[in-house]
Amino acid sequence: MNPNGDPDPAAVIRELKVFQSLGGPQVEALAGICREVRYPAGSVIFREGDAGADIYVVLEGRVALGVAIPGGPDMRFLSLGPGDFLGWSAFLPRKPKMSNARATEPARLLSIDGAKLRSLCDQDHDMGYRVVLEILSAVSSRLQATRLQLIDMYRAEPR
Amino acid sequence: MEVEVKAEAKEDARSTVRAIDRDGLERLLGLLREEGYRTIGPTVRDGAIVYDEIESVRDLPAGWKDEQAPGRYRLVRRPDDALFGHVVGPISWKAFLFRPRETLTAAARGEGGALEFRRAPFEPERAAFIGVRSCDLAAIAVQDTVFTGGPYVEPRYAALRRAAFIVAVNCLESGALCFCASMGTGPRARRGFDLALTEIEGRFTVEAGSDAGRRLLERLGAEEARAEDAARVEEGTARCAASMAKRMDPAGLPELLLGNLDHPRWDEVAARCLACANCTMVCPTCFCSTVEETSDLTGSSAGRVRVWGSCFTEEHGKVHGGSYRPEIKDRYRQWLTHKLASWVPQFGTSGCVGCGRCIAWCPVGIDITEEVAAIRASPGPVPDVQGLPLAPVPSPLPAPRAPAASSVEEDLVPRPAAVTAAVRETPDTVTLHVRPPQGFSFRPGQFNMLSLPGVGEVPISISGWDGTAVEHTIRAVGPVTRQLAALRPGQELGMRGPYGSSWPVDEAKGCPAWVVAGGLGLAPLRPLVRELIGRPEDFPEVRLIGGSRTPGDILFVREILGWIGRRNLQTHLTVDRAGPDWRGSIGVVTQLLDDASIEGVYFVCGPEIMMRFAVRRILEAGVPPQRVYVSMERNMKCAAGFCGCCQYGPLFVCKDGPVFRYDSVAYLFERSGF
Repeated sequence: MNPNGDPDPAAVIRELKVFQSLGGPQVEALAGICREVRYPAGSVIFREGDAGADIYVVLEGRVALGVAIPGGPDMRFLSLGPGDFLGWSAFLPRKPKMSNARATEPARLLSIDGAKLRSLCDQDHDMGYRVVLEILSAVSSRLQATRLQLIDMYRAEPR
Repeated sequence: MEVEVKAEAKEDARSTVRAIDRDGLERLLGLLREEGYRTIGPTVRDGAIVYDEIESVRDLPAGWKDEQAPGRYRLVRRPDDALFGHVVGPISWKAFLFRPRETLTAAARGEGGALEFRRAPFEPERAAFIGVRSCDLAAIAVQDTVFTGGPYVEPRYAALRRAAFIVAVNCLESGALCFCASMGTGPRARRGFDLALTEIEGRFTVEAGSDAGRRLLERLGAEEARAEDAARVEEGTARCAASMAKRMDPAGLPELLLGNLDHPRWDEVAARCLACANCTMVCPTCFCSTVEETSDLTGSSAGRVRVWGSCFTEEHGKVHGGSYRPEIKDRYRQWLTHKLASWVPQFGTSGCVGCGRCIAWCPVGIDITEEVAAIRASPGPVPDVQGLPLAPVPSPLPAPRAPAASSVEEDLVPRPAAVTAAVRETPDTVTLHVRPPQGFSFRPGQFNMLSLPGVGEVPISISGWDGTAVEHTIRAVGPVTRQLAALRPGQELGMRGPYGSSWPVDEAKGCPAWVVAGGLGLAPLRPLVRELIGRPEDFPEVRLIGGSRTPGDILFVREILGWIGRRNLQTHLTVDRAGPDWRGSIGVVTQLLDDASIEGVYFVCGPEIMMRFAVRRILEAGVPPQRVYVSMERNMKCAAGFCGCCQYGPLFVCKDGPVFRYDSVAYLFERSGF
């Protein structure tokens, strides 16, 4: 499975910090459900409400997450770069995408089939625990960042 | 300039003790007036003993005694007609040295409309203070340190103080709220006076405590006191000390109070406190002040008037965007921890002299000695902070600062300065280039006080130097900054400075230098970045991390774009939110610190909340707190440590900061209410 002549997915996965804790066979299993995808700058990766089959890890480039505001342009609230999870909600069953994702720079992503990842983790709870821990860590740091955005810290800034 | 400290009498006190009767006291008052002193002493007015001008012994409160209890003060008749048979009333001597209302500077339009600033005319009156109690002598010594012991000398206080003649009175009877004995400040007057009286059965012993006092005593020509009268001074004051029911144990108070900032007693006392500020007004050492702008109707002259302030007012801790001490609990805790704890590292002494005024004049009778005792009786568990990156207990406290060898009074008077350019940075932010007075120099991180007559004065960080003018990046948010931001080239403003500490640039020599800016926090960091990137051999690896609200709020865009390609600088900018045109990073600035280098030195400035999360992220990466510097913002009004408004725990942001090494502020950084 190497349609673009890219390196072996297992090698790519081993380079990723988010999958550092996986053992050899787990990496091999994960490699079996991944593919590399590329998006030119400006292209849409997914939209709010999409069924959301895939979960991604950014390998190269930058992706911006936003929400469509009726009557105005998208409001973008987070950008993701190399090593970041994208579309993690695909790990949860029946969860559509919650935002629009658009490549703001040419992007290369590792795309993982969400349903298959879940089923891999169901079969191997040790792997599941490690994957969930990584997703939790990403979600936690985004929750924290969102709180800071909610505070709108620069608007009330005294100085 | 140093205030002459009244030397303690070298000779055995007994040998210089004289005795006078009431006529002798009258002659003493006469001699003082003859020497040009206005004589001020205790007198009865509005049902209280107040200090006011006295022309004769007849003006003294003969036969009156002040009965005091928490929240209670009543004058009652004494069985005798003693002149000094009372203790202390609501007025203290600070009213005559650190006066309640003082014009600081005056600005006027001179010939051709040019702006002129000058120190307000000031003729210190020569005043003799009659009947200064030992506690109040100690209070005067405390205020001497506050106003004349630092890098700046408060010129009005110093002049009035030099011109004062002090006649102390020893206390032979204590009031119900007196606790000077436990504070080590009385009741026996031992130093800080020119003359000291002791009233014994209608007669007075007099001793001299200074050359001026000795000269006056000679002129008075009084007989020598009988040995038994001299002995009765010691016995009487000792008996008075022993009779004091109230006491406060001053031992270890800084550690006790600053180590119990979350004690439940603060909530309990806050539920009673009305935040009326009475305690701070009657306190003989409280020195906080605020300023009022005045102007005449024609708009041709304006002044800045200093008035007594109080940490119990909302205004005291207020800056644009809110108050740093919104709750009464925060303000009471500020007052008590300042007076009894922070004062020690600030001035080398406690701020409490045990006079008891704050207890009597508190409408709800809050008793400072009880509040301290309550915390001492059940100190909270000292948190085990070993190994935690944050919130160490403040030990050791900063050492008291040494008095400066020289000091500069004129630095506190603004000088007119012309705007040479006004550059709009964002819709609400402007960089004013201001041509400073001759010889101006600054270090990155310092600030200037910028003012407009009749409008106000604000601290503004220095954001750079363009070769001929000093740059100030100003966000138009309040009445003063809005007017400043509207200035055009050629217009004038008042400027004084620079003040405060600076970024310790050389600490980062040879290390990765991380400059972390949030919003307007980039302004005081820009001169630092310019210096760092200008010295690539010293600073081979500089990283600028900048966060802004939106792409339109990013400061200095053109200059930052010009930095691209600098070999020793990497710039990472991020915004909290963006529209579709922004291709850069979106997200909060702390997310750019995930790969914080453990070898790095960090210079952080931005809104306090941003600094808190940024510093936490940096420390989580394993960076020692000694390698992190932050720049703090508080309500800076005088910039010389006199007004008390910018206190942050035991620190004055204006003179100890604004740049602090993180470990020196860590224990307050995670808290609100300071």
